[in-house]
Amino acid sequence: MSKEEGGSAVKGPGAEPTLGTDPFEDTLRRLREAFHSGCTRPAAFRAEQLQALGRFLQENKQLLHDALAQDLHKSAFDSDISELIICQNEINLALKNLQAWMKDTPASTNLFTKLDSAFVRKEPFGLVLIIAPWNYPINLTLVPLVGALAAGNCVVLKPSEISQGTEKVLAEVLPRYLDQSCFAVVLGGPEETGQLLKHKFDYIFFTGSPRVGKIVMTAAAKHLTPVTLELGGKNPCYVDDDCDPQIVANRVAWFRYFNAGQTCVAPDYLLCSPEMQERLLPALQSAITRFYGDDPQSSPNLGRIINQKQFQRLRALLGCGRMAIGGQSDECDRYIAPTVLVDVQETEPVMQEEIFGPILPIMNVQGMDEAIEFINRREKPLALYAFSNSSQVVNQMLERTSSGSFGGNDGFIYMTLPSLPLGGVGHSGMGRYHGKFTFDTFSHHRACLLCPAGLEELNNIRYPPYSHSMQELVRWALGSHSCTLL
Amino acid sequence: MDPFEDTLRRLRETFHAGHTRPAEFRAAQLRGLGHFLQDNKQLLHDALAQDLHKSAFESEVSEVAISQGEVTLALRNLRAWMKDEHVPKNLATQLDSAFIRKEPFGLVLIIAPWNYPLNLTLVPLVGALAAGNCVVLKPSEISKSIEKVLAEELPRYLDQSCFAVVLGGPQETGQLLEHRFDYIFFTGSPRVGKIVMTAAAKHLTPVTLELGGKNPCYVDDNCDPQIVANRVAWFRYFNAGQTCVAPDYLLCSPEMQERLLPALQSAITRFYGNDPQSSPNLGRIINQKQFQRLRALLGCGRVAIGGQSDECDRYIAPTVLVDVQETEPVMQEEIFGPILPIVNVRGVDEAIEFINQREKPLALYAFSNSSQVVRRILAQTSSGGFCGNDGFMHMTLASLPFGGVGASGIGRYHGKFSFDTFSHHRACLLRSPGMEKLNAIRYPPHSPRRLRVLLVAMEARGCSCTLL
Repeated sequence: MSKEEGGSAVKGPGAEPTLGTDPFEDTLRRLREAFHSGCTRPAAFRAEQLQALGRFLQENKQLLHDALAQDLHKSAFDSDISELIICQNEINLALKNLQAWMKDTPASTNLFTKLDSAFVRKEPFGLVLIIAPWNYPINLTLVPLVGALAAGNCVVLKPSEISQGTEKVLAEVLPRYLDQSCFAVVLGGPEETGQLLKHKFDYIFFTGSPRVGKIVMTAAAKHLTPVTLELGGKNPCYVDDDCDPQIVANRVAWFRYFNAGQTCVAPDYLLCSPEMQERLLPALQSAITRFYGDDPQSSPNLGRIINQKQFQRLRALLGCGRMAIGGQSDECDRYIAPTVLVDVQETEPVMQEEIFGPILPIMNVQGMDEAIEFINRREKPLALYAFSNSSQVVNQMLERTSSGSFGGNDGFIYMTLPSLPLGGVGHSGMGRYHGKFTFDTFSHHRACLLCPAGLEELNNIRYPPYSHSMQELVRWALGSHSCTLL
Repeated sequence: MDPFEDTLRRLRETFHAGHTRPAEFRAAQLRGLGHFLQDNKQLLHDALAQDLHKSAFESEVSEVAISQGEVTLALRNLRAWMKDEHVPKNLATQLDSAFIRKEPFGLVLIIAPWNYPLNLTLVPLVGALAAGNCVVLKPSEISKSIEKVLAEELPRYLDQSCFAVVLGGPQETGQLLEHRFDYIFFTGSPRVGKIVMTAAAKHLTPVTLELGGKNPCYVDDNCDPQIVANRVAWFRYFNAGQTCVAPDYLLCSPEMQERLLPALQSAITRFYGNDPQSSPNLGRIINQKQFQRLRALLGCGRVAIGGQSDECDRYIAPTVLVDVQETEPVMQEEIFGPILPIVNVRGVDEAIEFINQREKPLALYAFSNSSQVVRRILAQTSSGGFCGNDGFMHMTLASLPFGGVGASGIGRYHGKFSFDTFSHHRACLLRSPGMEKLNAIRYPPHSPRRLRVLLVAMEARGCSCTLL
């Protein structure tokens, strides 16, 4: 494996004006050639890449902490548990399981194929594009990368230009750790990304908004490129009357205000009865004070909004309904206080778009049925939460709704389990990843059957012309599956 | 006026009412499908004979029996497939319930082709119904007789509040595709596949595209020419070559070609007699348009075997072409007919290079007495599926996923893979409403000690959860 010095990423035409030349062409060609040479196929190569990725995380911990603090005011604790450690765990899991995941999976045979070898072989797709967002700029860039590398692909990474501190580290430092004949970081904004998408990739993995997801899928369709789209939506959080308000408040508040609410799986809005709301409000205030102190703006544990554009958008949402908790903001600091809104109308902007900020509106419903009806009128969300002491209520919510994933009596803690797939449904996305699911996402599962070159007599019954008894025999043999439990 | 609006609305309402969720309902639908096949066997055989001149044998093994087999498999495994899949947990979630729940997507559209008009319509349908979806079926208007049976007979066996057949050509299909579906399953050409995926993108609808390409068939010098000729010929000329996974062209050395040609002629004569046009076991081309297209291909290279055609009968003889140039039409498009061009290469390396210069095919075949050669071709190429020393037998195994890669398609199905294709796999974690003290370590303000405890809790358990 060769390590090149410098490791500068390919910049889009925003940096230097060019006349009609495609800035990505050379890079993509180089990566394709490397793939065709077969260098990413051996397990040893892939393991080396993964180990190098691990070293990148370990050796640049401070640099990454600083970048995340710069971009999103993430505390070291938050950076560790939601970004760095998650990535490291995924790398460890992939390294531990690489050989097992790469193995051919045997398949059961029928009477016709008893003497054959039937199996599914995992193959890399080839040249893979990963487009990452800004809210968890390390996690949501590197976790897909782990799977793409483990599966033996060559990878083009397009980190978000919005999380500038992290983008810099990924562009300048990461390539030094990986084999640059098989890996490249490309930079740019929407225009450059559009240009990039005109090229043919063998797989595209996109995390971002549904609006851009459509653009990505449309571009992919031109080349029949398969995609995984990790999108978003408004994640409902139903709070039953039968619960402990303080416990619920702790859990909802922590998951809502983590990363200043800029989390695709955060509870977006609450659904509860007016009575429950009365009990929740003081409990929420109590949780917020416990977590962030009396002056949340001075707490090291509360994040900031990524940029002015998002800040302004969120500040406008503060005007919806009535502020029950919080509501303060500071433009210079891109700070928005942990906020709870009540008396919100469905038609107001805060209930029309994904909030993606530290604002929690409460919608009143009279019980579970109304909540379910409310939820099902809307697009399928990425996550759905239900809090109740009654497991029956939780199960009903699960049964009668659909969402990417579901959490009963807690927030998105399930994301820390790589044995659970993370992905959306409907407008919240298609495909899934984490753990082995990432490896499978970036692999083509090729059906293989190896038959003996001889033993032709056995095949005679299938060749015309046919006697009636032959036909019966064939029909019977086709239908006799020895093992139907797949 | 949108002719589909009412139908789609009706089906959506039924889905929201939850009718398709219980296992009993889905099993009833599957049994209905089985009865449709059994009650109408003669009708279906006649329709297939009318559309494609399929023999009873071909209709049984490649259409009816395969469909019936899938129905039976789904009925047998329905409850197992529907079950929540519990997954390994870490320390933080030891006391919780973590599982994957399979849910129907909702309203599913299946667009089917004309070459195996029963199989390629009903096998996806089995999976869609088993997974609990409401289904709109759009059979091909080109295989007219089967289209009629599917439109007039099939709905009587299924619950029509959850199932509908819609008819039409490209224009109607385009109109249909403007609507929003929760899943679209398409079998057809790459060109139309792009149109379908582009339409799906407008609604963020996931798709499975079963497309096509030119399936290479490498024949090594080290093999028995007659055995290879039998196998290649049977799979090439089955259904008059109108099979997405048929060997499309041969790659072999000039020496091998010399040995293969008489063997291929021998196989063709054995299967179809001296006058293949009068054999009941040879199919016909689906329509004039395809016939004319294929007849034009007969002009490529040099006809070594066959080459006869009869327009009134839409008959094309089992044909082998040699001295073919890569630039000729027969090597530029998917043949989809009873014509087999042979392209010469000098050995395995050149064959692999030839194959890898082109789009990834739906199927790839390699014939050799040496398993090393077969495995090498497998290792150094990619394709939807692969078979060593035979034709598309891999399709008869419901335990193998059937699908393409690259230009030959996206997604896969057959057996449980169909059920999984038409299901959303929802990650679920159910925790206790109490035991809040355990959660306290994650809440700010934080201490380094807390971080250490949390890390241990989050880490994957030693060996129990790594084997996924």
